[in-house]
Amino acid sequence: MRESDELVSAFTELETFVRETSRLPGLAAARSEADRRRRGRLAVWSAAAAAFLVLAGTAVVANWLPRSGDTGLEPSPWVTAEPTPSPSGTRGPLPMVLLSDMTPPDRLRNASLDVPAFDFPGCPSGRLQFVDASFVSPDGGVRMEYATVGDVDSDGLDDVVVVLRCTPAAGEHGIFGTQAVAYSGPTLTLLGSIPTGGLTVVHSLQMRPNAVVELGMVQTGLDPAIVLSRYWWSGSGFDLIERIDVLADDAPAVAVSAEPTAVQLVPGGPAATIVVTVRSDGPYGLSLPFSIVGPAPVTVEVEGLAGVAADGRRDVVIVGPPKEGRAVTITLRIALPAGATLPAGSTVVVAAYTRGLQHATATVALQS
Amino acid sequence: MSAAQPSGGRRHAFRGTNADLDEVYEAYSTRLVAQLYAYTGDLALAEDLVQEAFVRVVPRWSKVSTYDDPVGWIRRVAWNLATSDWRRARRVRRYASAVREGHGPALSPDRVMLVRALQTLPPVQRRAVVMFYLADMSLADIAELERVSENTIKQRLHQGRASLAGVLRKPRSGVGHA
Repeated sequence: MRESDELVSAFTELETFVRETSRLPGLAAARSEADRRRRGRLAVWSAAAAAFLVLAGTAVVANWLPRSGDTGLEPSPWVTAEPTPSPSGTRGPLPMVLLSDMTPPDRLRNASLDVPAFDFPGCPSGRLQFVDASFVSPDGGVRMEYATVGDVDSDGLDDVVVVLRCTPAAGEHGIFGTQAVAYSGPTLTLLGSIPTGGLTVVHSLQMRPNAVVELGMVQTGLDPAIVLSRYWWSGSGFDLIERIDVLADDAPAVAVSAEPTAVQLVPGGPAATIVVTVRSDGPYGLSLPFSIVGPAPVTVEVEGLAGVAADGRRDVVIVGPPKEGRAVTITLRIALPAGATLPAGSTVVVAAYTRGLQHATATVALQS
Repeated sequence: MSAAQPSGGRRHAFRGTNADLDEVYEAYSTRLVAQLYAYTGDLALAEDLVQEAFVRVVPRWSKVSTYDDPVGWIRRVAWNLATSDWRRARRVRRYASAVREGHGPALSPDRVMLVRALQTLPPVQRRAVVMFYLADMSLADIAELERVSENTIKQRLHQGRASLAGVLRKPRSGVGHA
């Protein structure tokens, strides 16, 4: 067909023109740019690690783990919120539409699944019978963190991608393995795990158009990064098709503010309301981790997310993606339980990671 | 298959070395630019997209080189960049504009006409036409990449050819050249 086609000569001419005209910078420039980005990531990783560890850090990681005696599925502390455009920068509602979408469907919660080996020592794998989204054994547990449904393999049937979190039996507290795994059709046949690249904390999961699976991740190890990665099912495995680096120099700039900046709390009294605004100054929109850290006795609830209250210490929300030049708002309700004592100088800190991970923060002083 | 063959280096045995990547860049970068130029209608953007795809492959080359079709991986990255939102493209463009010199001669009217005609096609037809004629991809490979059947690709090619023929037969003045 191609040989006899009149378009062949037209395209040959076009290609010749491009060959004669194109001025690509060259592979040396590509290597230099790749190296610059790598060095940039490494340079900011200290700040990233500090921000993640100090601000939300190991405590946040611990917050994702099952608590003692906990075998059920708690609502994930991570939620994704689609912003409501706010043309004049005024506050609009923040529909938390994806929280329920990320909850593993009933047919998955009690399924027997083939679980690929975790890239983490001491994790159960193989055929595991889940009960209410958890597999528990003396040798370690696996828990369904969250899931999304969509036609991953383009066979016209709904598939499931689920983020599994393993707690090794002998694991150090706060240390765990995660992987995102796809199961096909009503029989939940294993398709495969998504290559997330080493020790990774997956914090968001979405199905995008054209069977694209999108994972938000904190990657540690040799190539540390906070990324949004997109994958396709190739027929035999998942291929990475795009990776957006939150730490890159041209990641969105974000500003965070909170109103009011100080609240009075009465033990057992009504909750104080704080409105947090996260504004993106571009150059594009991107889902960003947003953490809330407060002192132990205080309870923090994100409005509209019944049952997703923080445990009094911290919570993490994915805000996103704020459009360039727009803002999204989150309403927090902060309360002090009856009989609790508020430490002097207590604050609630809200933070969003931003360009180069120079985390943008706002602080609310708590007084009792 | 030699690295200089047009269909993208499938099953070519790369060793993951810098020299391998030099060879791939030399053999395929301009071809990729031509494909993306035909798809986007913007030569500078096409160059930016291809350069960005190679920036992304550099740190991964030792792994990508072991794939069955490493050049296909680079091509897919470049195409995905081309079809991602304009902000992302602008971001790519900003980088490349910092390192790229100005372009040479302007397009001739014939080439302008072909590129403009391509831009009148729906994206799915345009991709099929460009992948078939410029990337020399097989119907099966295009179908796999586009996640549709070969018959669908044949149909898109047929429609694309018919539309292009109609546009290309119009008098040249119709494209507004001087």
